[in-house]
Amino acid sequence: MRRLAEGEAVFDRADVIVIGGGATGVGVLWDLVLRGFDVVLVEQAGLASGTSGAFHGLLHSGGRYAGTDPETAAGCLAENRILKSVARSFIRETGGLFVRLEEDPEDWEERWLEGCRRAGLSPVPVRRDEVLDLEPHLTSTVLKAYRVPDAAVDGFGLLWSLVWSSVAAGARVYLRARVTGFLTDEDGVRGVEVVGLGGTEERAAAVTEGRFPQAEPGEITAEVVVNATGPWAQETAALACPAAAASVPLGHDKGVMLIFNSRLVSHVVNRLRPPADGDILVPHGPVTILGTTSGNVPGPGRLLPEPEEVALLLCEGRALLPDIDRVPPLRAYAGVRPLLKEAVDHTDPGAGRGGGRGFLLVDHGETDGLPGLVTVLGGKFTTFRAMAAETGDLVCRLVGRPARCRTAEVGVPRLGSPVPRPPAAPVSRAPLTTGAERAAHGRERPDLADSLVCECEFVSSSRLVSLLDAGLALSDARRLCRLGMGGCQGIFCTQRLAGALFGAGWPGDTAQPRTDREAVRAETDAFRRGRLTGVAAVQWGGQARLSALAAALERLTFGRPGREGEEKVR
Amino acid sequence: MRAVGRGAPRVVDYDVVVIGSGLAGLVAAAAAAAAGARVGVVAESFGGLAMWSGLVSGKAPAGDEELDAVRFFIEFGVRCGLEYGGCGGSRGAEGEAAREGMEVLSSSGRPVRCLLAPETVWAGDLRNWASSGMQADDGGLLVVGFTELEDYPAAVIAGQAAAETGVRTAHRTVSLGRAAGRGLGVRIAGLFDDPAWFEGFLEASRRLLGREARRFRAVALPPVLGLFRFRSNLEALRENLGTAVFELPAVPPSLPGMRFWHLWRWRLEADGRTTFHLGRRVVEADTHGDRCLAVSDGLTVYRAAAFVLATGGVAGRGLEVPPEAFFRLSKPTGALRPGQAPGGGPARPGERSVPVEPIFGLETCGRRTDWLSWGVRVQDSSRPCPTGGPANVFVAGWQLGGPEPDALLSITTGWQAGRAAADCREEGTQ
Repeated sequence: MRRLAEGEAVFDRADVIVIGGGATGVGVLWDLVLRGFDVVLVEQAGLASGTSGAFHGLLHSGGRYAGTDPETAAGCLAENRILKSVARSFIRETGGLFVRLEEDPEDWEERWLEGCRRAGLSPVPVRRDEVLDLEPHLTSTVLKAYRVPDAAVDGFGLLWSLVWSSVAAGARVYLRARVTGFLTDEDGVRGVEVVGLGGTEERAAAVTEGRFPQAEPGEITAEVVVNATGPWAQETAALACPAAAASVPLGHDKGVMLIFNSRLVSHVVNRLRPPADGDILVPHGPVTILGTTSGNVPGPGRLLPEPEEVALLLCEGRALLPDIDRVPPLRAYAGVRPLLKEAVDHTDPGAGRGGGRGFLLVDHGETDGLPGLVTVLGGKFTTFRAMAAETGDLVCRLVGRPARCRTAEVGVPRLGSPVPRPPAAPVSRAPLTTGAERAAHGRERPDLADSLVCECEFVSSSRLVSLLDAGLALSDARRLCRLGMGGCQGIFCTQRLAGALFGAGWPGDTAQPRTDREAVRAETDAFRRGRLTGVAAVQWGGQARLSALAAALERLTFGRPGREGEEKVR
Repeated sequence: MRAVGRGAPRVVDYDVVVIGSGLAGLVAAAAAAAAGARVGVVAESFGGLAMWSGLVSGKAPAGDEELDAVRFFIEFGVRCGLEYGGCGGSRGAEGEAAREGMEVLSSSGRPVRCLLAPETVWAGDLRNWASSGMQADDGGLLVVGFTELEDYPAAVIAGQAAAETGVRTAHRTVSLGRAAGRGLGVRIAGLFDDPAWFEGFLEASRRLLGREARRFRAVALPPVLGLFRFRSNLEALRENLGTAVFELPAVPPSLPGMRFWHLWRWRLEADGRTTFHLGRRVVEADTHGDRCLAVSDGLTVYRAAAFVLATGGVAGRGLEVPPEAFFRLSKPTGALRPGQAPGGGPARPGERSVPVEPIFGLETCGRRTDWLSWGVRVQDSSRPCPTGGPANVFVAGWQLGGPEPDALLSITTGWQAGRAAADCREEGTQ
């Protein structure tokens, strides 16, 4: 924490600074922009690179929580309805089924129905033969089924759309920039110190045109700072003072998900039993996600799915889909739920999902004598808008500038549509990067001979390069256009990716050719390594075959050292 | 033995039946036929050869047996019309050539070390280049790509090659015209096999590259210069461009491997000792005591004195890895609750979980290396262990697994298995 000198030059100034580019932070950004505030968002990595990039993409109807926590269920249901109306293009209305199998407890069904009633959710019973018509892969041991309004949501696309809309309204979003400390004056917290992170992704330091300075920390000042860093919330609060960290009751709960390379169900399928491991199936485009596990972890560090966690998921998945072994697994991934501490303090390791999906708003001015710092904690993707709305209300009170929340009314533009300028927004300060807008529109660079980089997901080289031109890092562009997310997991597209980057003169024409080559190589190697971490825990069936083929190709055809070889070199 | 369909199954007799026609299967068939056996090859298709860049990699052959295998491979290749050689294409003292090895560029732009390479890449041996002390104005490498072939980014290859080897490089991408369509090397190779089209390409290449190409020491082209006419095409391009020309190994589907399959198969059939049964998948084996009497694809029963199992590894679909096998190998599943061990539950009636083992129920083992690697456990001379198994079944190629299977493994074990199987026939007749 550093005291701000009077008249000190700053890199940027705004009404509010939001730390964290996950669903919560971006939600707060959008909420405040619609209320007419001038907002800056700072994110240490890429957009949705933490919890929001590693959930199962399920828009809850509340059914999941009806049996344990009808209040949370009611909150989910309300948000489910609002998001379906304002963010329609990012939601697939698959509908959801709750199915009770022969081995599932009967008394739970009654308790669940009672919870649903209290939450305002009315599950529609489905006949047993009708269920098997709807979902032919489901086990024949289904006894009862109910229909609920669950849906699949494209969290990544939704967050990018919110960011682009906010940027269009004048907000600034700095990616790959880490907050290293808070700035204070006699009135409390007045801003943050930020360093841009170097490395090959430096190019994408900001979505706006202003690049963040690399070596020296830059100062951003504001009246209020919102800490929306999810699993990093305690760490971030600790930069202000230890007391602030102590007021953040955060627990970490690891969840592992498994993706199958096939659309096995057409509805979201939940098991009608007390929430446990591996009892949700969510269809997304051509794949199905099976989730999730739950287990306490000490912190948000780099988490990998372990084979035993995957084994557990698969084992439970078999109960719902008996033929699941024959479906090629695509990859497994892990995320960390930032939960309120009381929810994970139980001895039962699975308690992370038991309850506590609520959220908490900490005004550090009240708790620690640090006015101007707010931490928003807990919650879930489905309720991110509601969390942002309450945070926005608090910010309005703190600043003393009342404004109404409008996120439940203003539609989120689909990617590729003209970005509307909210009327209440102040005159834009940093001009919108036309590149970003064009990339969002899917328009392509006409000077490049177009070719397909990724055959699994149909990503053309000009689409990819236009995203990179717009200032996105490769990892962001990859997630947005789904490069390398299909069946081959980078085996064949890594080579074409290198070709596309070279063909575009990337990264930048001013760099020396030698730097180019090394940057391209570093990026493509990192891309491939990233894909490899996800497949390491699913080495059976079709994925084992692909991996064996990839290993042979890399060693025998491409002359790339295997992972063992790399270690030897080091 | 049960046969699908009506009536009695067709029965055919051979001395040796080779199951699989990838690299190991073809070498085994050739070795058995060379030893005088009548050979039947039962296979689905060309197996892993569609993925093979054509390079023979591995540890330098040690011992007389491996050298004999390599010598046999080189000599038979000459008869097939697809020559293999070591350093710079020299056949050296026959098998000895493989001891020196070669270093060739690949389509990643990085050099790959190999022992033997097909004739189409000989001019690209980087070790020859380094030794000649090339100067910047003296030669260099021109990487030519085709617009229609997206998996061969000439700019990347040239850039990486310059960084990795210090050789001066340039790149040029030319279009093959509308006839080429988009993307598939196999289709482009079909054009190069058409003499009339190739005439036109020669014309165009002289116009587009002619003056420039002469200033380079060599021109690297994608490995699609014809499935059959590659030798004459390369010769014509060499004359036309006035410099050395070679093919650069690239991603699958891979022409060099398909060339190999077609030419070896044609030679084996023409020699009159080998019959190919293609599009067949062996699903059953008839064993009696320590001998296998016959295998069946459900329609035809193949009887023989000995069998070579060359169905490929995990990559070639010769082995399936069920989840249980993976979890068993990866970690003790201590996190599981009792009674929940994966695979712990019995399979449903009438359903057989796919074992890692292939049709003979041989013992397999997995290793955790760079990747999980699976293979059939063998004792000496490709004979599977434990010794209780069938004594006239020999295993070859990537079915054997090993931490890093390579093409040399397929050649040496294919040769061993083919000869051992042919020897069984003599034992049987005595």
